[in-house]
Amino acid sequence: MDATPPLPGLLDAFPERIAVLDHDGRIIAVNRAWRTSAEANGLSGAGLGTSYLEVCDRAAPIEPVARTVATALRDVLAGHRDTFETPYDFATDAYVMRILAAPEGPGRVLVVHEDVTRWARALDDASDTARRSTEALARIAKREETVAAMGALVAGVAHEVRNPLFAISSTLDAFEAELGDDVPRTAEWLHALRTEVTRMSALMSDLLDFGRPPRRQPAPLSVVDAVHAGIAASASLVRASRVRVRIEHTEGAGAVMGDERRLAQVFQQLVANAIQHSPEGGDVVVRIEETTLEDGTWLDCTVLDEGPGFRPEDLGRLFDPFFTRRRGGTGLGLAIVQRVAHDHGGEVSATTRTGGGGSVRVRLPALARPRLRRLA
Amino acid sequence: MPRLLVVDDVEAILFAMRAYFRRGGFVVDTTGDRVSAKRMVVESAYDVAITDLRLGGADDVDGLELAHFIRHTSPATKVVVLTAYGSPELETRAARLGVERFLAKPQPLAELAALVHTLAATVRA
Repeated sequence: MDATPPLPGLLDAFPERIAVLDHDGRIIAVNRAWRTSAEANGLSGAGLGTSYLEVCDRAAPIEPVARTVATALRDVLAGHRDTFETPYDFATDAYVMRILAAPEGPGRVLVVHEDVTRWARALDDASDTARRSTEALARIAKREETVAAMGALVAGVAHEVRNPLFAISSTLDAFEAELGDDVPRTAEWLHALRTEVTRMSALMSDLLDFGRPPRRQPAPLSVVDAVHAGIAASASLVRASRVRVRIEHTEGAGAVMGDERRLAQVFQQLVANAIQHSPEGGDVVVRIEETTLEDGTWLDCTVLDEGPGFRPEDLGRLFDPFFTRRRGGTGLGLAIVQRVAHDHGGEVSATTRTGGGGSVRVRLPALARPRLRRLA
Repeated sequence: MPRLLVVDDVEAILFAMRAYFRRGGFVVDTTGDRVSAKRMVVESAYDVAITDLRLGGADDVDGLELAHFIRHTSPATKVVVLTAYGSPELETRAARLGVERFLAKPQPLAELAALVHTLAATVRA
């Protein structure tokens, strides 16, 4: 159709396929993208001179969207509306088709087909990611709900056992006060009973700690302070063991959100464990370092001892409740450490260092330090 | 000798504490319910009252209500709460009510006796 008015070069710059229709809905001009696409689909002359309205009418019985487009095109041609827009799929691709009333000139309307496949795929990917994230969050919430319910049950039992336990220990105290001197070998019997009562008390206390729910409103705190508090709580053990305990940390390192009392309990437990496995006169070091990974900045708090380290076969179950190699231990110490670390959004891991010595690392999400704004 | 009131709804605990503290020379009264405890506080001047937190009433922390009553009707009496159901929140609440100590069960009676002696000495000072 050589009589077609020349299309301004401006429209060729658009990646969308654009056609200009006259007052009857006939194609009078197309841009480069339209022509390329038409040729790829075997249409000679890019459809110039063809009635776009008739094409839509012919396709209407098999393509419902064509019927909608034909109706909209008639409306725009008649001046009843200025624009129309509809999404549609072609093969595996996604498009948006627009009809725009042209303000002036021989063309009455513009028909624009935009390939939105990559946006649609990006949206699908985002939806998939969102769905997977939602499912993961739901799984975590479910797990936390289960852990919380288990914690409440455990704590409930521990509370209930404390009353009869106190009745037993009080009766032993009263019995010893009343008859201890009169009955031969009483001390030996009482000692055996007391040892077991003490063990059960420790178990109840650990069960309560294990079952304790996380603090509802965590506060910013210094991990270094929590470590100091943990070491202070182990002071008698430190004195008795003749093991040296020290903290290594960089200046200013160590802010997290959490519960200082519970974190102090974590370090008390880890330092006590390290001391128990240390040789006399050995060193226990608590090292606090900031680590930046792809998923954020973390505080690594590692407790190192000079003991024999962990047996390889134990590493997979060190943090399981009731697992212990220590005689008389409740097996809940490291399980509590893991629980508290998880409650703080962190994790705990254990290794034997090359050359010997145990290493337990508590990794906690570091609280971002306020940045100083530079004044130019 | 210190005058001591022990309130707990477990009879075995009352039995053991009565025997232990009497043996130690204390003047001890015991009761398992809050109403009797209140009457006893009004009728006798105790140096120290050791009360359980849960006394079997509708309220889970009726021991705190008793502590409040004792602080108002017998201000000189020092109150110790001894419980199997403690929490930092309850401990704070107890401290606000003037409770001297908030202890977790079980406690060795020798340590409780030492505490009662110390508290009674401040009452009599």
